[in-house]
Amino acid sequence: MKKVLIVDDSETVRTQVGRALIDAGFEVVGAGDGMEGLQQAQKSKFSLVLLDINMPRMGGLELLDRLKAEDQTKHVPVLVLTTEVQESMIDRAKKAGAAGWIVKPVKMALLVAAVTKVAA
Amino acid sequence: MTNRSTIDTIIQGAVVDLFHSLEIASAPLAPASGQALREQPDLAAFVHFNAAAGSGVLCLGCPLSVVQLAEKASYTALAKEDWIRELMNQLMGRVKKRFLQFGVHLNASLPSPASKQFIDRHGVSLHSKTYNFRTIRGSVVVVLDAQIDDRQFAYCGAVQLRDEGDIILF
Repeated sequence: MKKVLIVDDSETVRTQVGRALIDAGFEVVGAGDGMEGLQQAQKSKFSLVLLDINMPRMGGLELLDRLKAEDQTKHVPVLVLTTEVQESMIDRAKKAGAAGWIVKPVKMALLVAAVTKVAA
Repeated sequence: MTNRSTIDTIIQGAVVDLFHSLEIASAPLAPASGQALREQPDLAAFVHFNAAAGSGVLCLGCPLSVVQLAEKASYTALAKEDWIRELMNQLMGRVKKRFLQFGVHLNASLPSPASKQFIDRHGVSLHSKTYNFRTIRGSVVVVLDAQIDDRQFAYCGAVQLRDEGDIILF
């Protein structure tokens, strides 16, 4: 079973996205900020990381950089799920190695389809 | 703030769109300046923001009856304080996007829960404006307490910005 790490400081988002992914057959692990997300990513193997940008302690772009800098996590595809729409930020994530950018709020069926397509 | 009509349009459009995404219809009422709230919200959250054009606080509040509508639409029980903070986050995202169309880049803090005293205090502030929205199950309130220099507003028209719900695979 493919395992997805959802990193978002909103319990609401983690619950709603997690439920949709579980219904689609994924195993899901949640983390409430970038620091916790990094620890989870180092602890076990994920098929995909879904991360928010604006979070306490460690934001999503820093987490993306950290994931791509480590041998253990650099091949895990990362999708960004955020309210941010600035092209400069999207370009920054693309250059850092993200697999895609999703603007909140998103229809769960479309999000699940994107995760299914991108998950390793 | 003197460019009220532009800012009013930004705030009202963002709120109506936000609640539409939750399958809740909301109708904006006439904004009021520096007045105490007509109804106290059960749940509220706020963000601080700043930009070259100014800075301020944006608060969002709603009654539990509106939360129940959202629960019905999402088929899930919501962690209410977290939900209102996430809603504030999504509202700020929409407001930021609309300001970008006027060349104004807002930086916002993470959303935090707002007490009734907090939202009341900002509601009666000298620079504040209160926006009420009627829904089928009660009123949503947004308070903008900000000093924004509207002389820095320049409509950029054709700026290509991503929409809510967009999925971009690289």
